[in-house]
Amino acid sequence: MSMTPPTPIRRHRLLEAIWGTQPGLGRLAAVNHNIVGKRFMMTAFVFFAIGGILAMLIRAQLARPGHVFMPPEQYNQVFTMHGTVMMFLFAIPMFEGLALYLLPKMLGARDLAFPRLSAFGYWCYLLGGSFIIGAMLAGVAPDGGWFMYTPLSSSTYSPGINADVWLLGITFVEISAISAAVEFTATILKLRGAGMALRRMPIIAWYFLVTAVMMLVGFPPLILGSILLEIERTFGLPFFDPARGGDPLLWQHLFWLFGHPEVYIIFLPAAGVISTVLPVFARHRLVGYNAIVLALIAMGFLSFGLWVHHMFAVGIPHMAVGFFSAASMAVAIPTAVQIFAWLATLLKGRPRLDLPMLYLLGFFFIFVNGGLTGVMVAVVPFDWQVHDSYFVVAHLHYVLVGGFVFPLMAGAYYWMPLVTGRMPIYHLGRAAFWLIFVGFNLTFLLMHLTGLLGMPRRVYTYPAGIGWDWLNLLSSVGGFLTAIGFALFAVDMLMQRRFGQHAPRNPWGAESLEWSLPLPPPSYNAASLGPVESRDPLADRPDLGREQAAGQHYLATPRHGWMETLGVEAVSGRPDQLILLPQPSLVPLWTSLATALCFLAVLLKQYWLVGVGVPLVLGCALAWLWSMGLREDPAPVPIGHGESALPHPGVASQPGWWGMALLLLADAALYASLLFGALFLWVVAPGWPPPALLGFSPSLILLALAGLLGAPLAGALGLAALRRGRVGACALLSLLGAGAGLLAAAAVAALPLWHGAPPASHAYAATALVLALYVALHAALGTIMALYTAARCQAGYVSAMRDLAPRNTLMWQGYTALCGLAALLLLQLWPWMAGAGTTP
Amino acid sequence: MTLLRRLPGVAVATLAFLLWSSAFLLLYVAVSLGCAWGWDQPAALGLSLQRWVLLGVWAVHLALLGTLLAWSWRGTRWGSAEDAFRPVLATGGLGLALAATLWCGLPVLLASACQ
Amino acid sequence: MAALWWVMFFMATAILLGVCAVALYTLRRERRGRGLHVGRFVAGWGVAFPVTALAVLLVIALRTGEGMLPKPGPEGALRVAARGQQWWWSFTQWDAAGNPVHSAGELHIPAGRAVDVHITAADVIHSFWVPRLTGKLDAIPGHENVLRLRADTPGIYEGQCAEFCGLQHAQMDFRVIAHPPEAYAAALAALATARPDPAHPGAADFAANCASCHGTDARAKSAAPNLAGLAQRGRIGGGTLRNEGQESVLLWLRRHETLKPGSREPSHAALDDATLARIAGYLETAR
Repeated sequence: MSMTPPTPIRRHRLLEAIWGTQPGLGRLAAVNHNIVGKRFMMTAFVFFAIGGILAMLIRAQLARPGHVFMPPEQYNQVFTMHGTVMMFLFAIPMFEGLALYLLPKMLGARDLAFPRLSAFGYWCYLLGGSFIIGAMLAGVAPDGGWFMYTPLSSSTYSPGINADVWLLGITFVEISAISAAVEFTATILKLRGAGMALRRMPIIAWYFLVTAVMMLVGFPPLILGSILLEIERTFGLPFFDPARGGDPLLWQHLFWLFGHPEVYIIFLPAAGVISTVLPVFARHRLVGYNAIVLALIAMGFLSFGLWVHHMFAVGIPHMAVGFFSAASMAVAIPTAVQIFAWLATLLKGRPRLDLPMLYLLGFFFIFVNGGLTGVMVAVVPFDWQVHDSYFVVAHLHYVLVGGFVFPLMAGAYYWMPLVTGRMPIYHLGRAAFWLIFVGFNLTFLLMHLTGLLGMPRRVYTYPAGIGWDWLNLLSSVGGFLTAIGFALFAVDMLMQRRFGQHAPRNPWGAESLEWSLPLPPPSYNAASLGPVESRDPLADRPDLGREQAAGQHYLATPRHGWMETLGVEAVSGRPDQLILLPQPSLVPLWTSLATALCFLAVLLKQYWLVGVGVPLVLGCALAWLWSMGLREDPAPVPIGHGESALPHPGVASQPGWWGMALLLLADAALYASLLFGALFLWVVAPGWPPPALLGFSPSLILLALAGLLGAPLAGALGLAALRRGRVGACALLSLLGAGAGLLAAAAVAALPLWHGAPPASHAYAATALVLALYVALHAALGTIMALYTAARCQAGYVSAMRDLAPRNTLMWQGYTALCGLAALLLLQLWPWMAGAGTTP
Repeated sequence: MTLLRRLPGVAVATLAFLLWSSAFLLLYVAVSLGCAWGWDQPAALGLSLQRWVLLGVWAVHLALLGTLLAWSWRGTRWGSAEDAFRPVLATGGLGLALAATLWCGLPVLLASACQ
Repeated sequence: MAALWWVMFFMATAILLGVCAVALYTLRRERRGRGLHVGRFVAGWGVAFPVTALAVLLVIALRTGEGMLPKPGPEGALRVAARGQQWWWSFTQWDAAGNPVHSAGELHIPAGRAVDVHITAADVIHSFWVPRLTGKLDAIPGHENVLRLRADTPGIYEGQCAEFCGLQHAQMDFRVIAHPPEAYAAALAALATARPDPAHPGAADFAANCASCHGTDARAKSAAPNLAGLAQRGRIGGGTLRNEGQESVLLWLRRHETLKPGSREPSHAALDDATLARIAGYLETAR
């Protein structure tokens, strides 16, 4: 580097000026992972407290038989909200916050791949969550159970807006989950320290990676289900109505296709915390790193083969049920591998019973208990007995509290010195542990028995004298003890922040990168980014923290006000680009507000407002994208250690490309769920074949094919022209692609609109319409992207080297063409084979 | 085969479990379609057409995974810690996926198809 | 089933205590175990042991499950029907001549014989569960599920809806009454004739106010619970009240809106107390 390196203090000031967030209203523009991560975690904790209060209301109601504490309509809202809040507003966002906060620090980066996306995700989460809680305070909370089974949640049996609040609010919150999943996957694959090969990543990054990919595939089925149910409720399209060719079981499949992977999406990050924290207190490196990574991949897949075990009692053939029963047992093996790897780590080391370790011991008892009852409910005939009884309530709380809350509390005590720079105060933490541990087991151990004695779930009252009275009373007492314990925990956290002793650097003697940072870490994490030579970087370089502060490593000298971090080759971890991150911005907030407007408009049935909201969202998104990129080709710049790298706009495998690819993976999961739904209704639902099939229309098919295939063809030719340096030709071809997209959208949408039966008449017509609209929507969005690409070409943001816009647009157009072909096959080949003639 | 050796371990493990997913999905589809289309009547050698299809789907996936495992096994040099990462994920992943496919298909032998 | 449960229970307890004991043991200062071969430890306890245990469990589970399926057998199962609706169960039994006998809240079966319950739903999803007889099976609109059960000894078996079905899911109980096999035909015949006395002064009030929904003839279906044999039922209102005679029925007629809020039964505010008492008295003769 040409200029003289600054002193550590001056470097800190320079970096802070670049990375820091403005005070006052500037806080609304914050995109830094330190801030957004903490916001996520604190908001999630508030929702946890709300969910806990709801749990106390449930226990108050059930303490005595025939107790009149709440009327049934209120009780049903309370238990529905307890499940909904804990699953969607606490567990998943808490993981998101933890990963947001920790990932860059542990990977040796300065921030995540898409900081503005983190901020957007946070605002969506906050707005969607507030929306649901607001509805509860207004007395119109969802009351159909957190699983929202149809037809109970259909407009016939739930006419109010309660169910719409759930469907729209949760879908809004899911946007943040999908954003986070895209963000984490791209970050873990690309934004790491120099030399951090996949095989050297901190183990928790593997857990987060598997979890994030599972979210990309696991959440879309629920999003699809929610959209279909909302369409059914609003416009009467009968996807779940058996009288018109729909099937209530389709909802259950879509819900649990999400719902079971969800359990592992919650457990895996917490298990990652254990694999990180336990070795530190065992004073021995984690045993079986490789085996654990393999176990994680196995769990990631197997957990998608379990969903029907929530549906053993719906009357599915025994063999099909058997596959899911077998898979449910198989998933115990990778779990057991982890448990015994942790035990082996403890056996090889010299464990010390610090506060985090105490919570980990609590985890062992509670989670293993829940895992074992999990194997029991995987046994089909046993499940037929205990399904939907309090036995299952006990099981799921053992798994979720044991598998998520306890490890996270261990993690909270472990990482609090990092967040606050202060050490825990021990006495309160121990008291909280024992209250929670004893209270929890009193509440839920007994519930196994209550369930075996035949008490069903979700009842607002029960008769006296059948042996459930004293069990429920003790469960309620235990519940209140647990609540007091959690309150103590919260007090302890506040006390530590206020009164704890200042923590020395790396207070636990850990060997992972986050402990190389000053406590609490500055906005830019490390002043220079240290190299990674093994799985335990602080063991190789105990003095890494000082070296980083002294600027001895990568990216030590701030320049041009750039927010710089390293991008690496995914597998080897060799630096392959210099990633320039975007500045703080209000655009994420505006985008989420515009999105909220759309959701509110649908909820309040003011559809004209959607016409305002959608252009606003699109406008915000385009403004967001437009503000990034370079107007001239970058040249390689020095990055330290005598190496140089190209800024990311000039690199093929830049994060933006990964972002689009991962988004399409989630999109494909949604489309696959839709195809599954169509096939499922056709095979299983009553009332098929439909009275009338879609008319066969050769002219529309030809137009649709021309548009669908023309768009990516134009995109590919444009990219080829760009490679030869002809930016203008690329812009023109993009415009051509935009026209082709429009043609495809119109032709595909026209198919069911002109040649189909009224969509409310039968699930076939409804499914055909939704399939066509899915493709048409994608073609139309492709048009907008192609127009954007043309404009970017004109404005000088695109060159043979800076080709992200045309490449991503082409990826989208290609995906749309594939989806369109599949839809045309299903919609037109099938009626044609059925000999339905040309027009109805 | 050389491609298999060149892929990163995590890609091989993913491929292996994608094959498991394919087996699982096709078995489930074959049960559902078979029952819907009445393939559950005895057809040949005392077994129904449906059960033959199920056995076929299962066997093809086992054979595929078995072959890949054998290929991967021959080229595997185990090491320790970081060096063992690729072989554990690649060869171990194929072995685990094979075992999982075998395990999850057991109901084909033990359960009624349409009841 | 019970044996399966106890085996699983003791195995699970042993594993749980074992894991916790090892975890606690590691905290001891003086211990051996440094020589532990971790590969063998994890492969043995984390893989080999659970695979073996689960393989045994899977085979037992599938075989037990097979044994519970409603397969055609040599003796032939008796067919009955159960229909769940918000928030009560209607049942249909068939007598030897094949004529239906409808009832509400009480299902009559012979003891000692396999019975196939054909389960359907009228509105939302419910679940048919008699914990002491067998596992549960859902009642799903658009589908018919068949549950095989058998009561070995005559008696009364309590049942309830096990799938959340809305406001009054909690008060959707029913009973399965298992009669001695030789007495089953007589029990059905008695139910078929257990109509209220048409000469009772309440008959006209009932006809004017209740009969548009409630039937009193077990031979005919009715939209609301069939009241034939009401006087002999153990409970009314889907388990809301114990049936202790005319007084209980009257209490229900007066206060059902607070006893079971949301129930589809319309308000009786327009009827005076004397009318309600006459109706209760009339129904008391349905035996």
